[in-house]
Amino acid sequence: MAAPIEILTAPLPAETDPGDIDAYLAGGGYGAVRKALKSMSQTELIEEINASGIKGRGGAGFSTGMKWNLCADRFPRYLCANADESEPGSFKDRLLLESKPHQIIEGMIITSYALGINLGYIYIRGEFFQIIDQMEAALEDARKHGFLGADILDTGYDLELYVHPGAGAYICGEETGLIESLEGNRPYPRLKPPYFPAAIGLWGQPTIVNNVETMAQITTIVDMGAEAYKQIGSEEDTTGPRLFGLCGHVNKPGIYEYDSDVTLRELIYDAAGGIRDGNRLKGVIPGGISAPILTPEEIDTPMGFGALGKLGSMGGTGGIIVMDETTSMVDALLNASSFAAHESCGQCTPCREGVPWMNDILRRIRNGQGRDEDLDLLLDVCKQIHGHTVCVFGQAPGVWPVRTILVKYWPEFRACIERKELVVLPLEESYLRPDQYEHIPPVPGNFRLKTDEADAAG
Amino acid sequence: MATITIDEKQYTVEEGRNLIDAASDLGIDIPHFCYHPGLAPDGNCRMCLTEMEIRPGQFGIVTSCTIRIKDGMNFRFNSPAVLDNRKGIMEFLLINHPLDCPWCDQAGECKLQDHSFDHGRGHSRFVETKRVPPKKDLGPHITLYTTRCILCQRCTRFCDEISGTSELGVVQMGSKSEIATFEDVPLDNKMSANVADICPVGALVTKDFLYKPRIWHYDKVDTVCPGCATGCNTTLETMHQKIYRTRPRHNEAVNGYWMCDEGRFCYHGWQDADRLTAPLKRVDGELVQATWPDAMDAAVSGIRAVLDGEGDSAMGVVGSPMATNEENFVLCKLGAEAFGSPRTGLDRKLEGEAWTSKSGFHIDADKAPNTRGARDMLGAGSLDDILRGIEDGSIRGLYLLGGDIGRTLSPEETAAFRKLEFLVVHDVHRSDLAELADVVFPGAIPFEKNGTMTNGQGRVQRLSPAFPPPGGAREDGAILRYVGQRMGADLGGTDPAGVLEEIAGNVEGYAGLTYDLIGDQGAMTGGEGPSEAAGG
Repeated sequence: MAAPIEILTAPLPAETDPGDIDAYLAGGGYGAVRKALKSMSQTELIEEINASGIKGRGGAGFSTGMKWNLCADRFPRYLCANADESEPGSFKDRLLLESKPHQIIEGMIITSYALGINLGYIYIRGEFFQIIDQMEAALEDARKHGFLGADILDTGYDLELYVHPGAGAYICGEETGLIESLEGNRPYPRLKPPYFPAAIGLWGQPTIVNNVETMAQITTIVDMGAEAYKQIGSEEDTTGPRLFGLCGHVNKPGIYEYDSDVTLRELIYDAAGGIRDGNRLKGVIPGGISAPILTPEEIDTPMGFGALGKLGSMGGTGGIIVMDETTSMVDALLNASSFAAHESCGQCTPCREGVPWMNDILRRIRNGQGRDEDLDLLLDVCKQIHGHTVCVFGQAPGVWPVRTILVKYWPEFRACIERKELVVLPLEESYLRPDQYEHIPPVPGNFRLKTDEADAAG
Repeated sequence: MATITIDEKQYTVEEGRNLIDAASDLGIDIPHFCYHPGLAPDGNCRMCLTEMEIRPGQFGIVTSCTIRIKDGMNFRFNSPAVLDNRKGIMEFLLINHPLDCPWCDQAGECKLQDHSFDHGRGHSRFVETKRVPPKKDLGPHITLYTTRCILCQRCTRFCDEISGTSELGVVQMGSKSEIATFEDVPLDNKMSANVADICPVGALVTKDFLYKPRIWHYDKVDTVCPGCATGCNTTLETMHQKIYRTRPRHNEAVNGYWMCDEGRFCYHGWQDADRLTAPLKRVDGELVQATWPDAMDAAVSGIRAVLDGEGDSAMGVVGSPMATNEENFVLCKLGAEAFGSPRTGLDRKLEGEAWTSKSGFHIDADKAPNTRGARDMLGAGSLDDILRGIEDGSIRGLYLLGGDIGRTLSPEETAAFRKLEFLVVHDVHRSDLAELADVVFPGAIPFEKNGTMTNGQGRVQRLSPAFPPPGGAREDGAILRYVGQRMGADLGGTDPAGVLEEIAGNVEGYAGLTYDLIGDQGAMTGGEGPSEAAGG
């Protein structure tokens, strides 16, 4: 059985303020910055990060080393640390921002040094106003101690970091939306191609956008060395510690740190103390609302990005939403869809029109006015949106929850339509078994029924 | 040039051009809403998605508006994925659309209608409640029918990229998004009405063209705007001898895809003027209507009386910056052959405000369309020379081409013209000038003229008449020829193309110009050929 680990969640010395730089320095803080700037070349640092095998913690699980290598050979380059955490079910960035601001700053200094960046931004969700103040203070302390500004640690390297408060929309967390927002525009995501941030990013220059947890992990990698880092977790799948935020119908919701070999079952039943009132599990979303749901039969999976991907789901942000047998999946999907309909930025047609349309249909079904053809219509609308949008928003929170929850809990939706009211079926009848649907790779959330009922309905 | 493959057929197209334009050159239409050739591509409507080979044998969805042609590219325009997407986008765009085509002014020239017909599914699967945001008054010329808007953002990009005034933006988000202005900053710039032209649907409409007859009832005439020396290329839409709408016609060297609001709506001033429909002659100190032969007799005898004497001609002729090159040329010829080589001058023009937009679209300070051409035809003489001649008594009779509804006389001009023994004027209404004349011939307004004008850059452009002058009014060239004939001079044929040939043979800088060469995009004087001067 996997044991919890304490790397990112290492407890602070008693009675210290997380923003207190003296306490942080006393505990060996900014050692990674000293090590990187004093004893490592830029190439060595990039190789170290590559060797660690770290995958970005923002949700997609893209290799951080590869992202850095894709950075176009033009200067100036910019760094954006993405702290616009707003995926429903996710709260691990908030914990890090509150408890380890200096570890994030350290990671940003190391990243900037490795990539020859002299200006970086930390884009913090606007609703985190206390965190914004704390981070400003932490940056000021770091500046006073000579870790920011001109000629850092007498190495001749200059760096400035600034906090930028988020503009209050989920889409500001999309990397090109974030860049537009930083530039002072509406956060409409940019077209890719040609606007890959590593080639044409902030102010048209090469820009690295990394999640704040990734930044904190960079500090860890430099501290412990890539060799030691990749011993955590599995090298074939996902290396390093991961923060899992459990919420929903568990007895002990909260952030838990494990390596990625931990299974979902262990997280729910061991770490989070099982499900409330002794109820049985109905479904679990493994990484923020966009990550396709897993049924009770599928929870013995390790939590690596690769393992979850094989199930047609994804690692996402590690925000795990647990739902017990009393949950109506129609309600749950309506909730997810309402979020997507509200947060669609409205730039491109399929997402702007299609996602709210699905929300309307789901609300009708939930209110007992579903029609026989509605479920197929929903799947067809999903198909019309999928892959046709400017950014991945249309499909991640827009389409994937609808497609997976609908397909996997098909009987409950059918019952809702047939009985013309909101129905919670007994657990065994409510969901399909893995042999009754199939996932069409490589995209997550691309599920389709292969049951007799589907043929009858189709 | 680059060789590309479209649906397994090979084509040669210009390298670096975007796919929509390149396909359009080949006669292949890629449906789109948000792309406009005058604006930077935005890729938000998703209608133009096509498949491109991204790895050998593997096709991926791309936006045609942002793809720049490179050699060897391979596209699929009619694969199931492409066609399904178009069908999907059409359905999405129409679910919240009011489908009020029967009373929408865009009907007949609406991209949503056209593409729905070509690519839509013919029925709606939408049974929910449509969103119905109220319509908005955006500014002096433009109303937004918010329900019809498909949020392609051509209008916001126009205000950002072309006019540079950025009044329009999007407020709210998601399906609640709406085009809007700030509360206290209306859409009021010198080019604001262009947003109605580029709106692919009936959302942005000019108040001027609201609830007018259906667009397919109009006759369309390509001509040039008479509003200033820029000479924007335009298309007039007319019915029953009335102009209903002016729209810019693309000419990259002059106006791009745009025109200014002043020019667009200036037809009202001309059209609403109380037009002269018969000649006037002075009888016992009063101007009274006369028949053409009577008026012509009065004019010829008056002119003869002035010319009756020894020495230099006592006549003067004054050309007009509102008249075509051909009319001014024929006026000079009339002077030379019938008035004994009188002094010539060019009538005063109206000066206004010059303005250049962010994209380089230019509104000229010279509010007459043909000052440059008229000067080329008439030589250097000015109205002041003529006035001095009148003052010193060497000019006793004047033949003046008027025809500018904005022209008013200064006290000095009035005093000078009163001194004349005989004044013949061409005009379009009973102006101050006409009131001083002994004979007034009813001429044509610029929208009724056939001929060429030379804009401020020296580009010779063609005017085509939308309709004939009303009643007994005539084109000024025809009147001049009639006068010439009665004075015993043969001024040649009435065909402006023929006159242009004469001009080409006689006027410096116009050598080689013909109607064919000028075509619908104009040609530069001085033999420079088509120029790449900044347009829109």
